[in-house]
Amino acid sequence: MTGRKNNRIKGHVDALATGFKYLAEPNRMTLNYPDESMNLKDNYRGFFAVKDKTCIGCSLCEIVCPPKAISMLDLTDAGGKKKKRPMIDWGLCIFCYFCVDICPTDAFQTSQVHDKAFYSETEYQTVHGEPMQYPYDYSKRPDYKEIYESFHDVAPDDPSAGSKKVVPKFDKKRGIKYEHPGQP
Amino acid sequence: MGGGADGVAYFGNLETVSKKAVSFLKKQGYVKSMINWGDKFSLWPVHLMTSCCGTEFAAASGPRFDLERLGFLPFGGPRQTNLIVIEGTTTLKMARSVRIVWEQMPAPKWVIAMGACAMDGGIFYDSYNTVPAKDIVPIDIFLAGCPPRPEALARAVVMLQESIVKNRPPAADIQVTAAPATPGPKDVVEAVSK
Amino acid sequence: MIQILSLLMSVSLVSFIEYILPPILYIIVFPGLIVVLLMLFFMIWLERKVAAKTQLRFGPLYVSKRFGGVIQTVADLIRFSFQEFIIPAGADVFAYIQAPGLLMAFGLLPLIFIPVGPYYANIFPANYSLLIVVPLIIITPIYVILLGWASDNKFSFVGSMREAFLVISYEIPLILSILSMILLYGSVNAINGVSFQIGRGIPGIVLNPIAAFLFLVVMIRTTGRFPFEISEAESEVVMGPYTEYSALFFGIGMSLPYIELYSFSLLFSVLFLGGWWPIVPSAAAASGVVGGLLLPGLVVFIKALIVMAFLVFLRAVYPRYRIDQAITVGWDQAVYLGFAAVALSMALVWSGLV
Ligand code: SF4
Ligand code: SF4
Ligand code: SF4
Repeated sequence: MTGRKNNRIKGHVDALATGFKYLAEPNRMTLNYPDESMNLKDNYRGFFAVKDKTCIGCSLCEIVCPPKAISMLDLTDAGGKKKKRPMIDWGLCIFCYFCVDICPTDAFQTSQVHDKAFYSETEYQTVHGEPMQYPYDYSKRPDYKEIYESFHDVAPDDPSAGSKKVVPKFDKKRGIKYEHPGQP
Repeated sequence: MGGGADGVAYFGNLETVSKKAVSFLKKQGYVKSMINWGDKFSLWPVHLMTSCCGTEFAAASGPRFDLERLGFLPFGGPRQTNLIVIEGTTTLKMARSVRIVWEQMPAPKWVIAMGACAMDGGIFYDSYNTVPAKDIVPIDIFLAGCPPRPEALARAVVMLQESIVKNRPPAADIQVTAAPATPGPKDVVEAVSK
Repeated sequence: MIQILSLLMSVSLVSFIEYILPPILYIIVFPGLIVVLLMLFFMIWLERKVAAKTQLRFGPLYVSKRFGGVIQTVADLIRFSFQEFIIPAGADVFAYIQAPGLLMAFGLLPLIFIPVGPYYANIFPANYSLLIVVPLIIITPIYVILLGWASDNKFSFVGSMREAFLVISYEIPLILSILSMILLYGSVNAINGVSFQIGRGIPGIVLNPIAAFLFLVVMIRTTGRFPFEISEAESEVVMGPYTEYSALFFGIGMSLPYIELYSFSLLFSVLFLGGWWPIVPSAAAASGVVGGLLLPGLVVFIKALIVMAFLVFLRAVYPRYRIDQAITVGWDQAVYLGFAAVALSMALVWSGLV
């Protein structure tokens, strides 16, 4: 019984001591996000766009896409020739990159932009362009030429472009910390 | 508890007077900007985890991304909060809870739809048992990803703060009378109309 | 005639400055309302900041980046002030609205009866200060129970029942701990207690460490700090008694524990930490407001701040007790510790050691 009691008192003292230790020694691992942002690994899967020149309109990406986020548009190019091009709905895309992997011509231009939010549906619904119907109706395909023109070949703009880029490093003593690659 | 009727007798008049006073105050420019400043740095989301995006929500409040820097403090009761983050898939059952919690929150309230599932359905786009979040409650910010990174949630909060400062009214105030364009399954319609 | 008038005026001016102004200042400025408000803003910010720092993060920051987000609580207050105030359909409206006000009033009342300087005896009757403070401190939980009952919500009700259980289990240790100090100081006048400590040169915490420890534990319990944050346990009963309260009324409910914390800490520094000890006002200085009230009050306030900072720091360290564990600690250990504290005081007094 006394042993248990002693342990209990020791536990309280230890807890308080640990708390004080961390309080006294600022050991923060916080990324100051809107001011700093992380430099991600090269293969990070972020938002992506289609290169109009490279795409051959084979529809493989549409077929492979698990949530049917891609739908093919029937477009007419400047010379009057018909062409098919994929459009992506960010409200459905789960960033699995199947489309990027399967594309025979590497037509997708990938990026590491991952922190995009939208004020309204029309901002992200590049496929539908109007409020989604329930249940999902694929037969509705209005003219998306304009939307497509504004989206293809354009890498999505990075909301955290102005922030300081930092690289996470693991330190044995301190845990995660961040380094500024620009500085020595 | 027979006090209800008495209470109305005591406070009924006071309530209309105070409401008038508050609406008058809110029209004054400096008061409005002060309220906006308070709202901006005091966005308390309610703990309501509908699906797997909730893990990223937890990470966003953890030490590494710590959204409390922005005044974002996850809180237990809906009555004290003013933000609801719909964390991913809303099944029919959860949709009812989301709606109830949203109704329980006091007036200036905002909604962030987090993850593909809450936007258009994501991987569960044609499931018989899920509802897109925008059919349940009016939404202010849509956040893409499956799941979105904690930074993306921070970006959504920053965008919400910007829109508050720019005096953009909460979606709840805009769409409160208009019924959702496509109401969805019957259960949700019932929950919404209640 | 004019001479008489001017005499009267000067007399009334003197009496105003001497007899009417100090109580008003005592209630409104220090240690009363204004200091309470500032302390509230600072303490809530400090609690969040200290917890964040211990958990390796920043806590509130962006609201005022240069000062580490000190005005975070002000932003929260503004937000709460202009939110919708919801009265639940099933609530007992009269009780629902009056309970937070009464809670606030009874939370603030003990402050008047805690002397922070020898000049206090000129303002309020100080002879029975400890006897008045104890019931006033104990009365607030009744209004917490009223709060839970009025809002017609099962979580509120469970939360207030928990509060009731805990109050009953920790009331006796509180009384015993204060009783042992009363025995030791031989007076229910807190000013005499402080002069006892200053006269012997030993603070109460050294004279009777058991009572001090017990008082600290009861203080943590009454103000709902961790590990005794049981009646408001977020993961179990939503927000406990305050579940249904929104807007400013919730702000009142939430600030109450900090006000109680403040009055308890003032009492703790008066009873156990030697009161205004480094400053020992002479008889002449003690009869003036500055020497008798402000300087000693400042010392007591700083000691209380340190105690409060320690108690809010506990949030970062402890999980919370289960209700049955807390009650067991109360009846099984705290009560006997209370008896031990009383016995220690008696032994000290009878043996003539102090
Ligand atoms: S990343 Fe996956 S979900 Fe997104 S468009 Fe490509 S295949 Fe579809
Ligand atoms: S798979 Fe590649 S080439 Fe084929 S349609 Fe999609 S983007 Fe174009
Ligand atoms: S978007 Fe992805 S991570 Fe989020 S709830 Fe849906 S499936 Fe889960």
